[in-house]
Amino acid sequence: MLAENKLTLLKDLVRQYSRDEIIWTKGYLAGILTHHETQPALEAPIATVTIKPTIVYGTETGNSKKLATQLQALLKKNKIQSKVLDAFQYPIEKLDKEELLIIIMSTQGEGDPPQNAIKFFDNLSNSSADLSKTKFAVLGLGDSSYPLFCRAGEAIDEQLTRLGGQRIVAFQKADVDYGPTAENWFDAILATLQSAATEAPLVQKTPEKTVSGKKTYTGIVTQKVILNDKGSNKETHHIEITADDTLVYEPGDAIGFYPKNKEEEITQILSFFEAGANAALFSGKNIRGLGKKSLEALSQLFQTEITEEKADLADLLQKYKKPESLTAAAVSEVLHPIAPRLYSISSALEAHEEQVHATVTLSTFTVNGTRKTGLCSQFLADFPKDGEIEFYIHKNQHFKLPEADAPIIMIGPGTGIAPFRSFLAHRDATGAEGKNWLVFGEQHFVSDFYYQTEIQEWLSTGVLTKLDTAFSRDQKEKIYVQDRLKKNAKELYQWIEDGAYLYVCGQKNPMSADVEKALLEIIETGKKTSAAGAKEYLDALEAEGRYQKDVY
Amino acid sequence: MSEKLSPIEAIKTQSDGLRGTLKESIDLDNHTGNVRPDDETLVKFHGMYVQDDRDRRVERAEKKLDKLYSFMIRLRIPGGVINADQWLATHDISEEYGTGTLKITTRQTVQLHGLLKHQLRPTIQAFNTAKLDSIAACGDVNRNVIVSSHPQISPLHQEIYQYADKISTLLLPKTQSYYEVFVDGEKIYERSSEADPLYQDRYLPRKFKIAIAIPPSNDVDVFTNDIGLIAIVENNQLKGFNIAVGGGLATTHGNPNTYARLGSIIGFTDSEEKTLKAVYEILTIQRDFGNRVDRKLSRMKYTVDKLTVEGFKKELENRIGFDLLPEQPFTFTERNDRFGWEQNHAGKWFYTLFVEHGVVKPYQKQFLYELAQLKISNFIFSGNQNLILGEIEDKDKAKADALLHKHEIAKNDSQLRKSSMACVALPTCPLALAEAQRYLPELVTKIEPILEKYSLQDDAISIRMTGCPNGCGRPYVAELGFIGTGPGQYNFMLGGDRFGERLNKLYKEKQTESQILSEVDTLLEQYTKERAENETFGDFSFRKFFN
Repeated sequence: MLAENKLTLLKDLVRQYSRDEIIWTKGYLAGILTHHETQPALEAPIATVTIKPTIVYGTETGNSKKLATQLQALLKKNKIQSKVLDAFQYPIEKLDKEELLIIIMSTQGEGDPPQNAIKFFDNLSNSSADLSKTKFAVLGLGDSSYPLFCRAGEAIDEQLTRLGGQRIVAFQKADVDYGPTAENWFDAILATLQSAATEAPLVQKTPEKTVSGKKTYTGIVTQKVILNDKGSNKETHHIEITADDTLVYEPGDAIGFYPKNKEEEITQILSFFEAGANAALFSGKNIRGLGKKSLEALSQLFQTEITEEKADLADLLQKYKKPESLTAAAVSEVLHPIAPRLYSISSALEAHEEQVHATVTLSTFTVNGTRKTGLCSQFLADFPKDGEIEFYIHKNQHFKLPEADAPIIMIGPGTGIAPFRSFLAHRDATGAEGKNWLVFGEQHFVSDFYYQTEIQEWLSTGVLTKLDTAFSRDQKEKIYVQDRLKKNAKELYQWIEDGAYLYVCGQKNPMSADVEKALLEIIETGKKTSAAGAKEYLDALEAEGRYQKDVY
Repeated sequence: MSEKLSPIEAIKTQSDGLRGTLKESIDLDNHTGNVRPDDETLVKFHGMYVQDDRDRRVERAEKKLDKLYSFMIRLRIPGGVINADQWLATHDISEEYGTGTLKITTRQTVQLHGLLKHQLRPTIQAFNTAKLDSIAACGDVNRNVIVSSHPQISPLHQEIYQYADKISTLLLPKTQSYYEVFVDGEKIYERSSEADPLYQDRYLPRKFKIAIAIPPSNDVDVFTNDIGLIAIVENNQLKGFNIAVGGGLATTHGNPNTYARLGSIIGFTDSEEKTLKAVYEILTIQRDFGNRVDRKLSRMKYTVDKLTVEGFKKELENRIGFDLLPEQPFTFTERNDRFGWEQNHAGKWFYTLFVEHGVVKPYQKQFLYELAQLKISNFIFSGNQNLILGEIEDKDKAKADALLHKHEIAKNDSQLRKSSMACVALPTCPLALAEAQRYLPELVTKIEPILEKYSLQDDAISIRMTGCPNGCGRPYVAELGFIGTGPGQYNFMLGGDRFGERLNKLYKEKQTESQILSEVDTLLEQYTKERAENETFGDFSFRKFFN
């Protein structure tokens, strides 16, 4: 860059300098640079750390977890996005895909890992993965008054070395007063990452985006769990699907499923028809809760008057006598195909690579005293883990995150939390700076707090600015999300004034109506206006896209 | 070892009279069922422990749910006596909040498990209305003061029992934060009015336990306490107390510096004033000399040994300003409770109900509820985790009998079962390495046939089990002691005497159930063949293996 003569001059000058003088000069030049008009052109590229560490902790009393989130926060402050996992949630098959694995492990009793980490520990001990591309560092917690101090951590460090991993910071034992030891160790990790980044060439990754129509994907249900604990009245499934193909979706989008009828139901229907009728005739047809049109068509086929306004095919076949000659194919013909069902996506591609998640509550209702369940939620509830499933992505342009630094308020009781898990995971993974306020509600704190541990992580790392919860049945008087909004009226109004975007997801009635009523009250008081004035204000927000609803 | 104070010390001194951030933990932290880390330490001083259901951890983590945190609350009931109204209140509270289980502890009180964070205030407020509290039931302070619980043993029981209350009141922390945080919710006390000359702002280095025994019964295991007072009665008059210091059972696996220790008698006091003064100053010695660096070495037993018994006594006499009198003779001849009906000197009736490991079973709970409604008795928790229905007038005895009959209360349990004791352990105790309360009944059932084989079913051999070496179930003073070392494994302790005056010793390490049963079979066979006349199993095994 410098002309030959300038360079020689500079080299001569520097040669005479002491170390301290060089440092001083560096600061002096930097000062000049700050005031220089052509600053942007001169600015050297700042090396960014592109490595994505995974921090795994094993804890009995919570100390390792605390440290893991502390490290995550430190890294985040330095623009390094990491993820934190409880050892027992760690997918061991991903081991060799890790760029950097940081393990914080406590030791119990006689050198054993904590209860939650035993599986991880055993899997790792038996693993033969090739970790030649994986870097790692291990911090052991323990109590030096025990003979096998930090043994569990030490054993992990040894095993990772055996598998070919590259240790970036030496194994460290931390005693009961682990704080300072751990902080020094964290600093060493950070320093190592930063110096490695300055040496490495700068690579800018631009995510490939492809335009998608209504494309049907196939994927494997890789994880499926009921989020509610024992004693709950609810059955809400968390379903993770890993797609074969590159997925394209954004937070706020929905996933569409094609539910199929249950085999026993089809068998029952077929029993009314000629032998040998094909089950496929009914598997994709709507046979439940038939409406007016279908009933009229069936009335003609049955040659009898059907009095119901809504009915299941099986019940009709039971009740009405149909002509002997009527074939299954003829009935199938008049039935509508099953419409796909949409659910808000609860994952974000930036956080859950190659995956799409759904959060589905089994819907139950009674018809004439019989308990019935929703077709699609039952279909998903019964869907086997590791089974192959078809789905599509439904774009929702009316439920989108704003620019990264805008504050958002997310009101999502029940499964209404789904898109907000996606929002938060996205904002977390991309380091979006906007403030986030989540208002969640369900029946019971102990059994129905969906994604509680993830929400806790987001709180501890500062991704989630504020959390309000309303557990309606934990006390004598029922408390709902709208009550929490009213309780926080002043702050909520201030957020709106400061440009916050409002999102509501969940039941249309009564929830979203009650929430809207509460919002209007809050605006009326906050703005010192009339009811009409408040309505106008909220309408304006809606028109600007600052009040978005995804209700059903 | 570094001389840095234990981190707990800073939590205490910086707690603003045990307030910490408890209000914030309860009012603001809606994301967790736990309180903040420092507050976990502080709630103990208010009589609560945070626990989590360890059986549910793995499954809940899969469900992305946090650990199932809940609180155990333990009442402060000096001497273990409550009235019928208080029983009814306790019953109702346990039905409304928590798991519904009432657990009688080895320190003559009762605890409720499974309270959720948002239920703490309503629970404590309801207890407060019933004139019950949980202040200092846990934590580094003087815990519940216990006293021999069988009023029929001595006509002086009432007089001696009063000491429990006097000592408890004397040694209560002065801070009013309990009421501020849990009852009133408002700051109504000025810190300056809470000056605490005893605890200052650092409290004691560790928990502190006081027991009063009335010979001939050592149902309180007096020598396992930091301070043991032994009532000396002559001609139906209370003469005073022998004072024993430095008892304590907790040890740590793999830490040879820790040990169980029985209290050493340092002398005798002959008036209420002198006794209370001595008790108070023993606490100040422990406050000033106790180890605040390593909590595993901070109980007063280590302070006594550091100063030597003689040195400790000198320091005490210096502080109280008078000399202790020489120890007076006494004899213990029993430790178990006397089950069934007994009558005291004034003609009142007492019925002792066997409550296995202190867990009040549902049918017992129903019986007790109905009895309390009659308001004809009080309720006394014994140090053996049983329940005495006391002070029943002769005219009311038939009513109690009818209920006992209706609920089929008097069951024929073996002497071994009635002499058994276990701590809570899994799934809620965070320290537990192995099962205790959930498992000992099963082990006893398996030992009973062996007893029958050697015709020992009427022998009240004491059997005690804990899930860790901390000793809550006092396994170190049992004839058969089992201390958990890992899942399904116990250190087998042998050679303790029957009345709690000699510690047992390690006989076999890390024994599984089948090893325990085969050892017990061999030992009992040897006992029946080789014992001397009237020799208890504990004395026999001590003679055979450790003498």
